[in-house]
Amino acid sequence: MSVSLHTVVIGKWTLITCFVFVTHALGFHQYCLIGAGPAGLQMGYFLGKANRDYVIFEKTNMPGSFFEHYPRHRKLISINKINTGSTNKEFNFRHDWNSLIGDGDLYFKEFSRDFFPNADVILEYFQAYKTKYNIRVQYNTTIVNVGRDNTAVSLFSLRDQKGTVHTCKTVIVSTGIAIPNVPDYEGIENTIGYEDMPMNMSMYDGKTVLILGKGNSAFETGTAISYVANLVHLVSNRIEEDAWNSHYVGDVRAVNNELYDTFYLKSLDGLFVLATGTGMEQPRFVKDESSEKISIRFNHLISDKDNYMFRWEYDYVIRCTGFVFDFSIFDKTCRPKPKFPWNKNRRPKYPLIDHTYQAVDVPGLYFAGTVTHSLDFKKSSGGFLHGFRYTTQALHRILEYQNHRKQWPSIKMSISELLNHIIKRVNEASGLYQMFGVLSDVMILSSDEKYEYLEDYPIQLLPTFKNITGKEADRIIVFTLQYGSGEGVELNIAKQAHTSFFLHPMFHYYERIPTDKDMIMHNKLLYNGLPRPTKLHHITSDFRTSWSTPNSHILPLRRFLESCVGQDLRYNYDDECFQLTMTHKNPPIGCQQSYASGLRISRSA
Amino acid sequence: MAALRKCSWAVLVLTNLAVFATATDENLLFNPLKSKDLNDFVSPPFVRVVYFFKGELPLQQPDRFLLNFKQASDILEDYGVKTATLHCKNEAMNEYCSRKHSVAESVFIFRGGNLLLEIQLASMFNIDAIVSNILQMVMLGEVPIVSDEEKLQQIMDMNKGKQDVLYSYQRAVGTLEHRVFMEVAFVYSNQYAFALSTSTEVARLISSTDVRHPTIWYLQCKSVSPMDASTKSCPVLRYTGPINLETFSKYMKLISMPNVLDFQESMLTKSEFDDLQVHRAYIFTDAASYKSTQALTAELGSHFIGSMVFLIVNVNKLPTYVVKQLGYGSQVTEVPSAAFRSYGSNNLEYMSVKFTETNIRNFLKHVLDTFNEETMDERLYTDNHPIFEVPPQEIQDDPVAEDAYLIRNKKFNTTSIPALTDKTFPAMLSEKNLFLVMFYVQWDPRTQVFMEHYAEAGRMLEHMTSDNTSPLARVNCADWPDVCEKNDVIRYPTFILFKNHKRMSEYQDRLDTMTVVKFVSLHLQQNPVTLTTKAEVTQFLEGGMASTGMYVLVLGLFKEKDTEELKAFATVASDLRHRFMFGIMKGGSLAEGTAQYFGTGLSSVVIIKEQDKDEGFTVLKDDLTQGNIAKFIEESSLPVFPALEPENFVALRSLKKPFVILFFSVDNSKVEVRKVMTEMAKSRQFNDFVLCYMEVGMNSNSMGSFILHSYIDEPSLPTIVTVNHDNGKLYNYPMGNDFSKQSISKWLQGISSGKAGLQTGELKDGKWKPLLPAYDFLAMIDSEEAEYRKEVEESMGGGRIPSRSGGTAPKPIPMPTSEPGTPPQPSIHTEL
Repeated sequence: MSVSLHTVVIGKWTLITCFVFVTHALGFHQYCLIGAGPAGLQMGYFLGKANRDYVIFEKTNMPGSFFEHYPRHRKLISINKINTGSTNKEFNFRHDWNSLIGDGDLYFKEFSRDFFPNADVILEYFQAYKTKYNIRVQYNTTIVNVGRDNTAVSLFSLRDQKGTVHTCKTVIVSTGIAIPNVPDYEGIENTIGYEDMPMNMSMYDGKTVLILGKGNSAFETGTAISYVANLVHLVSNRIEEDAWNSHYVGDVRAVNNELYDTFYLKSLDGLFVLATGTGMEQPRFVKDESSEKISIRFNHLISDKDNYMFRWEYDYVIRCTGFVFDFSIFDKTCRPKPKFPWNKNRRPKYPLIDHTYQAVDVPGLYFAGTVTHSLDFKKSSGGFLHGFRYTTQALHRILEYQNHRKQWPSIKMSISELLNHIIKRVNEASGLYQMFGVLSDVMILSSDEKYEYLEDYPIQLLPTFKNITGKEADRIIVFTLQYGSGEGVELNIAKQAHTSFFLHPMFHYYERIPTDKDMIMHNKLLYNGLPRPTKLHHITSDFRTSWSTPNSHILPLRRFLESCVGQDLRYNYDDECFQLTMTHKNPPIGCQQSYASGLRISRSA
Repeated sequence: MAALRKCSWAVLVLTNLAVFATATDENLLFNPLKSKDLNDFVSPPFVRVVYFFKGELPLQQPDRFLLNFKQASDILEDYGVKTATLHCKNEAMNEYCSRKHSVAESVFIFRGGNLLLEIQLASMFNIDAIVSNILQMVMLGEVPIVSDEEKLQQIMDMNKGKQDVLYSYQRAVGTLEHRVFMEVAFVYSNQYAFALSTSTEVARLISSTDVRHPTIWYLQCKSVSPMDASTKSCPVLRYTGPINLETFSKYMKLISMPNVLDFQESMLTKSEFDDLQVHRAYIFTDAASYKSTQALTAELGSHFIGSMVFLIVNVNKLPTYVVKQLGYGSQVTEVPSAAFRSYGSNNLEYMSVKFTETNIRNFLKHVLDTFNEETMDERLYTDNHPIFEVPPQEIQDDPVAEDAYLIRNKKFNTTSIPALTDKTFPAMLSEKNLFLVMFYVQWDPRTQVFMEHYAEAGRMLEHMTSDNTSPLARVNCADWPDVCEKNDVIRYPTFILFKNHKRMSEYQDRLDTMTVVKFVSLHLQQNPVTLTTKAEVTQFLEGGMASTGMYVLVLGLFKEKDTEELKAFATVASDLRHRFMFGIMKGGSLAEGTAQYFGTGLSSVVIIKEQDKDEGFTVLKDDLTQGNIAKFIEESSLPVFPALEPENFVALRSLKKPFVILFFSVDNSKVEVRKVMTEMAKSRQFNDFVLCYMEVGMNSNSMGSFILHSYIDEPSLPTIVTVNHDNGKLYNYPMGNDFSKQSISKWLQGISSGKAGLQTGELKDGKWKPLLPAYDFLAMIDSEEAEYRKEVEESMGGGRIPSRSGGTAPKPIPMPTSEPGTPPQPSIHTEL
């Protein structure tokens, strides 16, 4: 069951194998995607828009087949917020956790009005999305082996279940993380997995159930069973975290936390931590042959005490211990390294990738979707559809420049337009809102009093800005939306904006692009995960996340921008501009801009 | 004497409540006045305020201004000001009601039957603004608004030896602080002189530090004897309390009463002192040192006036039990000595050091500071103090944004500029043949100040369309970013003209009503138009559908066989059709006759400029190529000798030539030079330059005067200055008495040929630095971090400093802290 973790060794034998692959190749594609789940579809959309040669291999006959089976209890916990009071589609995307990025004409909310919809609906949505944007998916094709030749062209060979070999320049793995993680405990075979637990609830009627794990699937399962069971116990080796408190949507969501009530109100259900250092790290699951009941034991005195908390037996033990990435499809010519978790007792969940979503030491092998979540695990939303739709877009932009010399999209304008531009992004940008702390908007300030604006750029790629975007840059402002370090009391005081508690806009100004060293040698907590800037600005958090008031939001921001560019950025009336132009060699920027655009502001009589 | 309002805040609160009330009488006017009674009402020699109301009664909803005005009227009545509202309905004959524009937007102030002033409603946005603006009118003589330092100096000099002056810097007229100052001035104007300014420059005369907030100074001019008036300036004391009615009027009361008293003469009881919030300083003395102590105390008194009263305790003269009570014999063992009692306190603080003037000053300053610090926290939470005092960084200094803020609640009719959506925009695109769309974001101040005028343009254009609907519309890009993106809008506002169901051009001109009307109406009309009948020619020359003089007309007069010329003209016409009205006449007697009328023959292009009083039309006869026609139109469509002004600056500057500006004042006898220069311009011999003029006028604040003074320190009028914007060089005309054509021509030729010695100066370098520094969050974080580390170090007694907690409140981890080897405690589940 466990995944083999050998390092890649490229030898003679590999060369021969690959040669054989290439000769059998039926078709060549610039991009081969494995898996037509949400990330595969999203990447397909972008590649299609850019007219790139790509194909998505999908082992089943539908997109997003994972959702056919999961979540087992069929309730999606990504919110489907159909009303926000706004007609701004970009703003509304901040609160739409199920739609993929498209042309603004297909949204998940058209498929369901439920706040937590049934998982069947998302299958419908994926199908509609695939059809609408004509995503090129080759169904019923299971990639059983991914290998790579060692020649200068360095092509990948993907062999499917029929032995057909597909040759690809770039491989994007969007398989998700779908292999159940089975902990290596004695007697684990006496447990049932989340992946195949029977869903007929009558089976749990009047039974006593133990659940391993305290993630959302454990809580989802526990809650469902608790309605009919005698009691449900949840154990894990880590304290559960609440999503509302940690701002991490992968932690326990309030929609799933009914068991808190039945535990804390002593209604028999219980939560328990097998904490490290207590001797309870290694449980054993012992089955009584005659009663078929299972008890949990430890190699420790604690199990022998007469008031031992697990002194009763359980009818069922269910594993809800998560999933890991399937490394098995790669042969050793291109097998990605696993990312070893910080906790040595845990098995690797993710492949080791860099911030361009590329496998470390395997050039050309990229990842999209939840499988890239190692980059922001427990921090941001990159493991979830509403987050990885943006990181997939970032990956696409990275590949566009790297493979086709197409620069990161940007807008270049006079510095006098910057204030309006930023305020607009502050109030609607959804990528920065979901991928807080990961993606940023970067403004390049140039000496000709212009700025160039790039959206949704990965913060960790700042040191390689030029190589990634193709753009020369020296002085930059990095705009992020991030949660603050404040005390949880919202005062909305502009002057103390840096103490804001909730998600709020912040701006880091650098006189030169931060280096790799700068990125490492910084105090994450003080400057919100970025190196110490030359200048820093925060806009105070707002109760309705609406940052457009003239004095508290816009004016202090204008003063910050002025301090970055060293210029007065006020708007001027036509008569002032006339007077200043008649008496000076060069009028202020506001006037220069109003002359350039022709739109002079006339003072109302 | 009028009763001062106890607390201005209370009034504000009431006002706010009133806004939500919908009692019937609030839907009617108060102090209603009929037209026939207007004269009687305004004729007394007192201030009378009339609001001419043009709306419908009863009001459909409470009118904010009317509610404020009513509240303000009650207050103003205390100051002898009577107010009235006159309903214009059925009073059409009234001269104010029949005024076109301002009447519904202004309040009119009369005195003695004369109209003193009209104040725009926009500057009467709340009760403070109404009261302060009107009081300022009432007391313009008593509380002058000084515009320069010299004037303030005059006021101080005038009052030396006579009375003290209260001078205030105010950020603007119409603020709460201004109102407080005016209300207090009304009460005390017979005892003190008052003055205010809204310029920090003026305040600099008496304040060494920069002033940013409204501030009041007490200038003790009375103490300067008239003998020393020329050498001594008035001692300056800054009022340090908050500027509200209660505190500032207490201060005035304090400075108006003697603050050095003999103890037994003091008539005030403790509670009276407490009520006035005045501290007491006790100066103990005996009969022997009484005189010297008294003199010293008088000195101290004037220094600490407004904050404490000095009581001289003559221990030899007062009954023993009284002086004992004050601590004499116990705390005070020798005289002279001093003690302090803050208001509200029963205890005295005694000075322990030697009795010298410096020591007493320091002692009193110290106890005063201590008191202020201790009460600071308390003060922060009382309504009398501006707890959320606005830092300068958050005070708007952008003129456009400031105006936008003032009009933010102004209602106006927007039906002529419908807000389009992702559905209605495509619908309009397919339905309408021509419309202009403003793509904007609602927080942009440029858009905010323009919106009303855009709506007005829409109403004016309604009559020019075939279906009588406005050809203007708007899209809020903060609501419909998708619609804006599809139209490639990246800056806000952007104006796009759609014609025949597709994007035609962008509007890139002044944001004012008439410029938009002109632009759109040129597109609404057939342009160019071929003229074949006399009626058509007449209609064309009269300006088509629009009023005469709105556009410059360009008439092409051709022979039938002029195909090349016609083609060239048609191309230019289609390029410039958004700026000029083009007409074409081909052959025939009508064309010939028309050409004759303009003194030319066929194959000519005539520019007809109704608005140019010096040259009604101008003709191009030769080389009718596309390039020539376009150049001719660019150069000759402007008035031949224009006034240089903001409206036409861009057009004139686009010629990229130096300006030769004649500055003259209307009452100048030498205005003859204007004729000379007009003739020079008409001769077209000086095509290297743009000849133009600016009127300097009587007012030294006029634009012309301001610009001229930046070129010449002490100009005499008339004068001529050549300004070359390309290199910043300035040339002042050197011969002030000789404005003959020959001399001016010679001078211009010299400039053209780069002759040495003519340049007299250059334009200033524009260094447009930010007005204020931004909030320095980096410095704030640094100092908070240093503080935090210090605290941790102290609490830990050294050792490693833990990193700070991040975004989330850390959840206590219920882990047992058992020693290795010992069995863990049983309660290790998460229930704690």
